[in-house]
Amino acid sequence: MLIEKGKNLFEEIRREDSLSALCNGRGICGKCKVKTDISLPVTEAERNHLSQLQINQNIRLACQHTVLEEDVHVALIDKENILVLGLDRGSVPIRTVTADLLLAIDLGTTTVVMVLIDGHSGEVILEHKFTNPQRTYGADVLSRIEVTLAGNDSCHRLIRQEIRKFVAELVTRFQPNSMTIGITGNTTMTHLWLNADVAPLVQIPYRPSVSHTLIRSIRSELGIGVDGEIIVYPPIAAYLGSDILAGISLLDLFKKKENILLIDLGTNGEIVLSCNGELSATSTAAGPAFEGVNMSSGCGAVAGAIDHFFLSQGKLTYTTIQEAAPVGICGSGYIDLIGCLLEGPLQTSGYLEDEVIVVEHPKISLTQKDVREFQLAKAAIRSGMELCVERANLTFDQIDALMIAGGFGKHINVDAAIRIGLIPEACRDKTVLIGNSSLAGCVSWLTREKDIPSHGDIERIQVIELATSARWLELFSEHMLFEGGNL
Amino acid sequence: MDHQEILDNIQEKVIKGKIKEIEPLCVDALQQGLSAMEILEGGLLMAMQRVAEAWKNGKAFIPEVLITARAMNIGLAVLEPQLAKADRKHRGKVVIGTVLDDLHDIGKNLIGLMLKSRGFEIVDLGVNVKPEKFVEAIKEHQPPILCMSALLTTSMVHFRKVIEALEEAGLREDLLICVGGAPVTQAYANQVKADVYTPDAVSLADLLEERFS
Repeated sequence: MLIEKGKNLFEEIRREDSLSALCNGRGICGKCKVKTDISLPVTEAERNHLSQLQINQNIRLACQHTVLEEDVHVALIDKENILVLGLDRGSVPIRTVTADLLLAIDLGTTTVVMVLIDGHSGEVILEHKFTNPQRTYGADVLSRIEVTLAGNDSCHRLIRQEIRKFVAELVTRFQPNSMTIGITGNTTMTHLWLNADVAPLVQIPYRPSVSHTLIRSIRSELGIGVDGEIIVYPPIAAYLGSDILAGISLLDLFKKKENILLIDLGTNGEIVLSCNGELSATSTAAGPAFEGVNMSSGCGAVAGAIDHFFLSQGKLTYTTIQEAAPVGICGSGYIDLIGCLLEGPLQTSGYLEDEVIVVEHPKISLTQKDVREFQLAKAAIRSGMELCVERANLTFDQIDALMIAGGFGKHINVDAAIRIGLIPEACRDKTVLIGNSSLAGCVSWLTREKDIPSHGDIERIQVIELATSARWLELFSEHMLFEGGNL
Repeated sequence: MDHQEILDNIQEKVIKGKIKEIEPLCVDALQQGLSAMEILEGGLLMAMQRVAEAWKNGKAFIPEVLITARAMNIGLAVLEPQLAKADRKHRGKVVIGTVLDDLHDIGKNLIGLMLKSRGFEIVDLGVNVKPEKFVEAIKEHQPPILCMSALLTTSMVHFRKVIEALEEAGLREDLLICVGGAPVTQAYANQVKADVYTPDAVSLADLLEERFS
C-alpha cells in the first residue's frame, strides 16, 4: 500500500485496513506495526516497543509517523494481533498449535461469553453468549455464595450443565480430534465452576481457595469424548479474578513503562493501575446499575435497549440497539441520559424534582431512585480510581492511558462519562474503549500469544481494600455528586 | 440579628458545609447570649434533622448528610466544654457495630450520626465485630438498644449468631435489637428474631426517638 508524502500514515492505513490500535494512536500499545520500504526516523515509543532487529528491518509503529516526508510503501504486520471486542475480527494469530479447536469462555456474573477459534489457522469460527443460569440464585456473586454455603450446589451444576451442552454440540458439529478450553471469570465464578470452597471468599481476610492455574481433561470434567484440556486461569484475589488478570496480560501491563489505568466496568468494577510495571488493583462494589439491573427501566444490551441519548435543540432524542422499538435503557444509555439531564432538571447533587419520562408506552423513565442507584455505582468506580492514583502519588494528568473494558465498555460516550464525573476530565484524550478484555485475554492465553503471569507476578500486585480506607470514604462521598470536570 | 436569625444562619452554614465559618459563628452566638444548649439544639441538630428529613424524602443523599455531619462535629467541639452534662437531653446508650466478615461502615456511621443528633449516646464497636465482642459490650455498657449493620448477604447471617450469643449470656431480654443494611428485609429481621428493622437510618431514629422519649 502506498502512502503519499504529507499524509498521516496511521490515519491512512486505518482508513483502508483493520489496524490494531488499542491505544488509539498514542504510541502506548505498540500494536500498529508496519513494515516500510524506506527507513523512517525512529521515535522513543518505537524504541520501547520494537527490537533493534525490527528497527533494522524497517518495522515501525504507524502512529508515530503523522506527516510523511516522502512517499512510503507499507505493509501491515501483526495484523490481527488483538481481539479488541471479543469478536470484531476475523482471526487471531496462533503462536503455538495446541489443539484443533480453541474455546475461550468468559464466565460473567450476568452473561457468559464464548468464542471458538480454529487452533491451526486462528480463524474465529463463532461466538456465543448466554445469560448465566445461576441468575435464579441472585444477580450478585454474594447471593450465589450464600446459596452454595447453605449446602446447595446448584450454582456449580447449572453452569457445568450449560457449558457441557454447548461443548457437546461443538464436538458433534466440528468433529475435532482435540480441543483446548480456557476459562476466565471473576473469582466467585471460577470457584463455583470448580466447586471449590467459597467460604474463604467471604471471611476476612477474604482469600480465594484456589489461586493457581488448574488444568483438567475435558473427558473427566465434562464427560465428553474429545482429547484436550480445560484450563481454569488463576485469580489475583478474592474480588479480583482471572478476568481482570486477562486484561492485564492482554495489555502487557507488567512490562509497560507508562502509567496505565485499566477499568473493567461491571458489577464489581475492577481497577488496575500500572506504574512502570508496578501494579496495584482494587475492586469496587459498584453494583449492577451499569448493567441496567436495579434501575426502574433498566435492561441489558439487548435489541431495543436505548444505548444513546442526545440533546438536539433542547429535546431529548435516543437510539436503540438494532433500531428496534425501545424496551428499556442499558448502561451506556444511562450515562448519556444523566449527562443530558444535567443540562436541565437534574441537579449536580443528584436531586431530580420530577420523574423524567422518555417513552410513554411501554413506560421508560428515570426516577429519583434510579439516579441514586447510579450515583452509588459511579462514585464507587471513580473513588476507586482516585484512591489507586493517589496511593501511587500520581495525578490524572500523569496517567498516560485510561483503558475502559467491559461488555458495554465499548459503547459508552466518553464525553458523557466525563460530564457525569465517571471519567476525569484529565483523561479526556487518553481514554480508550477496549471491549471485553477478559475474553480477549483468555484468547491470547489459549493461542500462546501471551503468557499467563507467573504466581510471583500475581502476588506482586498490590491489592487495595477500599472499605477500610478512611480516605476512600471521603472520595466516595465527594464523587457521588455529578460535578464532572469541575472537581 | 435576633437569636432565631443567629440560629437560622448556623443551620444554613452547617447544611452547606461551610466548615470554616462554623467555629466563629458558634463563638459569636455564645457571646450574643445564646446558651450552648440552644445553639446545639436550634442550630447544629436542627440542621442535621432538616437534612435527614430531606434525605428521607429523596431530596438529599449521602453526600449532603456527610457534609452536614462534618460541619456539625466542628460546631459540637466548640460547644462541648460549655455543655453541662445534666443539660443535655439523654435518651440512653446505643451500642452499634457492623457484623463479622463485613468491613462496611457507611451505613453504621449514618445510624450513629442520626441517633447522636437525637440525643442518644453512641458506643461504636466498629466493623467486623465478632459475636463475643457484642456480648462483652452489652455486658459492660448495659444499653437499652443494640443496632447491628450488614451490607453483605453473606455477613448478615451473623445477626442470628449475635442474638443467640446474647440469649445464651442472658442479656437478650431487656435489649431492643435493631438490624439493618442493604440486603436486610423485615422478613429476614423476623427470621433472626431481631426486634426492629427499618429500611433507612432516619426511620430508625424516628422510631427510637418516639419509643425512648
